[in-house]
This record gives sequence, C-alpha cells and structure tokens, in this order.
Amino acid sequence: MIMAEPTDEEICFLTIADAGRRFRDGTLTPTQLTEALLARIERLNGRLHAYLLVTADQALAAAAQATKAFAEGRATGPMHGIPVAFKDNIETAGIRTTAQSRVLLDHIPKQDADVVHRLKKAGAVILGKLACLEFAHGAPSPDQAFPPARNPWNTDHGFTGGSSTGSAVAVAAGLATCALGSDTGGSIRNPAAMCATAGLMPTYGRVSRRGIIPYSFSLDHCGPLAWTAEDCALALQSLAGFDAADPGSASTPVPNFSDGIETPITGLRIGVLRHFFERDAEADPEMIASFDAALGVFKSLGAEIVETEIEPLSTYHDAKAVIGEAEFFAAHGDDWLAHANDFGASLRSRILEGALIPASNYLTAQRARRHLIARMDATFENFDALMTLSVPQPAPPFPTDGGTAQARPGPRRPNFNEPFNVTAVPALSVCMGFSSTGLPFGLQIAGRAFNEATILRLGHAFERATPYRQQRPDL
Amino acid sequence: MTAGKPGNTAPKEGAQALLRSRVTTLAAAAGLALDADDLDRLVKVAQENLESAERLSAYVARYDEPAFGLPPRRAGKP
Repeated sequence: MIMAEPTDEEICFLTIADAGRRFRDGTLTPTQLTEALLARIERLNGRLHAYLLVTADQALAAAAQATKAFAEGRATGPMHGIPVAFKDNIETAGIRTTAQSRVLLDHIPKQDADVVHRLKKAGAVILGKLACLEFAHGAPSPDQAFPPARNPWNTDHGFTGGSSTGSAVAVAAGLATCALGSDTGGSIRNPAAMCATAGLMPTYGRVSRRGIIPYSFSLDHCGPLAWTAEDCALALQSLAGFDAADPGSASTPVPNFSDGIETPITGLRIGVLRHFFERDAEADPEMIASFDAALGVFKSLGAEIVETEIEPLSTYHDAKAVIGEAEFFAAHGDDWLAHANDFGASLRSRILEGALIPASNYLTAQRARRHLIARMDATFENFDALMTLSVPQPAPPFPTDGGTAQARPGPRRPNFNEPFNVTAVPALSVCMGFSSTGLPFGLQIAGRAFNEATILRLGHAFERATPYRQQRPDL
Repeated sequence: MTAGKPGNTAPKEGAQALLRSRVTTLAAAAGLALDADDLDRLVKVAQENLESAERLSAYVARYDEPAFGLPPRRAGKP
C-alpha cells in the first residue's frame, strides 16, 4: 500500500513523540518540520497573536544542525530537533524578552534561563517568544505593547485563559510542537484547558526558575505545554534537574518520566475533589457531565474512584492571594515606582495590592501554607492522584472593549488550580472533551510531590482511551 | 495587621480610610493618577486581602504550634 505524503498541516500537528519517531526513521527532518511551522506561523500569527517574536533564522540554523545530527547518527534524545517556543517571561540570551510589558520592551538578556539552556543542550529548535498576560499576572488591555493571543477554537469570541496564553495557542494551533509556560496560580493549566492542550505544572523545585521573570518566588513553577501527556513527559525529561542558582530548586533524583507511561492504570486509587465545584464554587453543568464521563473512563480502565475532600477552595485562595500579591510587589515594586505608567492598565493599579499587605499577614499565610502542605501530603497517603476540573467553565468571550473594563481593579475568585501551587505538588491538565459550542474542557490530575510520572501515566491512559487528541481547531 | 492584634481592631471605616490614604500616597509616589472608582476598587481589594489573612490566622490557630506560642498571660489568657 502506498502511503500518502503528509500535508504541511499534518506535519505541524505532529506530537513530539511522533516527530521524534519520524526523525529517527528518516521520513522527516527537523528542517522540514521547522520550515512547515514557520510557514504556518507566517500564515496564522496575524489572527492568533501567539508569537511576539519569531526567531526564524536561528531556528532554521538549529534545525539544520539537528538534521545533520540525525543523518550522522548523533541525535541525542527525544527533544533533539523538536521546535519549541517560550513564554515571553523566560529569558533568552540575545533575544528580546518583554513579559508582554512596555516596561521591558528593550530588555535583551545576556544569559539564557536554565530551561532554555537545558532545551538547547537537548538539541531543541527555538522558534521564538510567545504572548502572555503582562508579567504573567495582568489582564489584557488595549494599552499594552502587543495584542493578546486569541483562542484557536474560536478566534472571534474565545479568550485563551492565562497567563501562558501564547504557549497554549501555539501548541493547539500547530504553531509549535512544544511550548514552555509558567504557573503561579494556574497559568499553565488554565490556558491548556481552554485551548485543549496538555499542560504540566511540575512539583515545586523540579524545574529551575532561574532566568524566568518572577511573579511570586514561592509559588512560581515552570513547565511544558504540549499536545499530549506523553509529550509533557518527554519535555520534562530535558527540563528537570537541580540548579543551585534557584533557591527553590530541589536536588531530588530525576526519574525517567516516560518509562512506565504505558503501564495499565489498573488498581490506581483516584480521589475525586467534587466539593471544589459543587460546594466551594460553581461550574458549567455541561463540563461537570464531561468530568463524570471522564471518571467513567478511568473506572473502565481499572482505576479505583473514591470521593474525597481537602480544605475548602477559599483557604488555598486566601493563602495564594496574600503570598502572591506580596511577592509580586516585592519583585516589581521598584520598577513600578519608577515606571508606573509603562505598566498596562490592569497591573498599573492592581500591583498596589501587594504593597498594602502587612508583613505579619504574609507570614501568617506562609504558616497556613505549611499546614495546607501537610494536609495535602496526608491526603496523598490514601491516593495515587486527585482529580477535579481544570477550570470552571469553557473559554469565556473575549472582552468586546479589548479588556478595558476587565483591567480595572476587582475581586479575584478562587480557582481550581491554586490549591496545587500552594501545596507545591504537581498537577496536569488534559483535554476532557468539548462543549456543544466546540470549546474545550480540561481535566486536572494532581499527584504526590515529585511523582509527576503517575499523573502523566493517568493523563496518557485517558488520552489513549478517548478521541479528543484527534480533534484540532479548524483554521 | 493580624486579627486580634491592636492595629486590626479599628472599625472597618477607619481601616478603609487608612488603606485609602496609603493607596493615594503610594500612587502619588509613582506619579499615578487614580480616578475615584479605581481608588474605591483598590481599597475594596486590599480590604479583602486583609480579610483573607484574618481567615488564615484562624486556620493556623486550629493547630497547636508550641514553638510559636506566647506565655498564657501574654496571649491574653487568664
């Protein structure tokens, strides 16, 4: 049987695992993949605004080197030749890094962030820098230096979630094979859920934050967004490891995250956190039905499903709000005092929240956090994973005023992601289906500290058992 | 200010006036002109953060942390 040549679109939608297989069997080269992606970025980025900067020349040069390495049998690992892009709060040597803020419009770092260095060393091809919410914390507003990214599942109306907006859009739309994001209160899992990608927040300390412009020192994480859980495992392998230059970095051994990913999930015990959306907050009924169907899939695969409870969502939110806002001001307060009017409308005034939090309150929040972590660790003595929704509703409409009203100071609501930032455990979002209007739903799977492998295995099993990885946005 | 400590016992209106004054002073230091609506919203959010800390203080109080305890008389206990 003669196989048809894949179209450029099919090439752009290859996963890391599939692209690697094709590099190894010689049916595709890193140069061909990079060229296809650059052409697609050229065609679609004007609509999607995923990229703030495309580094085409460097990408093609790196791809040519990787192509040569495969031809000569020197390829080193699963990220070799894989095109990757970075959220624009991740510093790249010699390449402008703005965190989507006017404050840093002329910021050209001298050094790569640790994660960039590790991916380059693994042979990855750097495609460029991706949109985000300003300093990973603001909200879209028309006065910002770059337009906000658009959800590829509904470019007219759909918000992307945030703050790793461009990272999720690039992966979902086939503009990057892998992207990195950062997550302080859901900023990887929230856009992953709203754009139908997988997104992993690793355990606090697993991946270095050196060279990532901070939001909150004690809550920030860096991790991959990719089309599948398996791809997140492959990317994490290159990202994980101790870095003495990150005070939060852990010297815990790094396992092979892909080794057991195909192992059946029979007998794994899953705790279901239903109180998040039935008592603590509200969620879209169609999304809850999709969650129940997802639990049915895990049950059919042999997992044990048990309802459980942890602290109310609001307790985690209280800790995240006090710690996050205080640490944000600690990181950016001086810049704000000197250049307040360069900040976008959202952060320009909201940053003041952090200046108004007394030190005693910050310390109380950290004390509370210690107990929340202990309680979470105790919960994980009974479960291999916890599951809940990634977000309470599908992507909301993009503000018709460009975000002017949304950018004004206002109350934040607890979200379903913060508990796992506060308690420093890993959490993964995978696509759980689609709404009747075609917008994605996300399933959140949290695990024991430093046991990313189990939640990646669960995510992989779910993706294999469901049809949602076959569906891509029609662009 | 933590719940139960002297700075936190002022009536809510007094605390809000203090927050309003601090917001105005900080904004002026940064050369930022806040309109009345933004000022009201910021004070409200800052007040919510103080309330978050009060709830966390109550949460921490559930746990016996001898290392952080004050002698009973100093803690206001008989």
